[in-house]
Amino acid sequence: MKNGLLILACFAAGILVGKLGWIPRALGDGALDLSLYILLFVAGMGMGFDTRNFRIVRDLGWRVALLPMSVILGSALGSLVIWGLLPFLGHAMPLRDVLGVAAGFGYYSLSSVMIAGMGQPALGSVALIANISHELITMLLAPLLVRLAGGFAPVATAGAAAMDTCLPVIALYGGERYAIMGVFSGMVLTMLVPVLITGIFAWF
Amino acid sequence: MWTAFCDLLADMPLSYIGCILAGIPAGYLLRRRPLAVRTANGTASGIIYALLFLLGVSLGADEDLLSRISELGLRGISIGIACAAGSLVVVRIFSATLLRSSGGENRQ
Repeated sequence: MKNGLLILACFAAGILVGKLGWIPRALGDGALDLSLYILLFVAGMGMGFDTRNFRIVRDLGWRVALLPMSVILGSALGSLVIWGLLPFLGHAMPLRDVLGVAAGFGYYSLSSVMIAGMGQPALGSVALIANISHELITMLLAPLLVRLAGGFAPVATAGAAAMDTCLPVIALYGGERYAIMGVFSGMVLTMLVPVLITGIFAWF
Repeated sequence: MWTAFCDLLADMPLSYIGCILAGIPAGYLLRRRPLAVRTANGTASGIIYALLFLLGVSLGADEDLLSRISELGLRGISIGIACAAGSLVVVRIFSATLLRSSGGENRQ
């Protein structure tokens, strides 16, 4: 959670600096592009560093794939429901935008920056808040979530964050076995985030 | 020159995914070099902080967006809660099958 709060602080500091006009906006936009590509390459390297995935599938079998699939299916269902409800709150959004934000699966850094990089800073900010709330919900409510829906509950709400920032609470309130499956689920979702976001905005 | 390079990259629809795919073998080959792992992870978190700061700047510099900030926040929180709740419901349905894959419930 420390990480998430630090990110929010950076974002808030940026808003302040932008409002005060200390940095010309064009400079920010140019730097955004190049560093996004570097970030994506380094994110790929992070996936290559980690070979735990292969071992987990070998040890637990194909059924473990149901875990990331639950998050994908659940996020799609949640998106449809909230897409239907938002107009009643006076905040109608196109379904594509809701699905694109949801496809961050809690990977707030990459999803927000990718969407902002597509020329949609407003939607990128929505993605940042939406995906950071996965982490906050998981960290603050883990014991309650486990009681409600079992040890897989925090793995599901954490989404991609199950492999790193949320891993300690998953292990603490669920147990070692849930943590191992959480690593797998988080890694699969992490890899899917850029693919799904690109796909949703390019072809939807 | 960098701008031209970035424009060229951006014109390719799969350039985002291409960058990631290029990183995976690089990471796999370097996975046993602690210095490479540390550098990559450090670079990633540095860039993330910088990018989100810049995202804030482009939001703060835009009067129209800035006036809608609470609206953006509300949308974000609603989508986040809805997706977390949806995932919770679906995982609850599959949890029996998932437990079987991990060798049954023997934690107690």
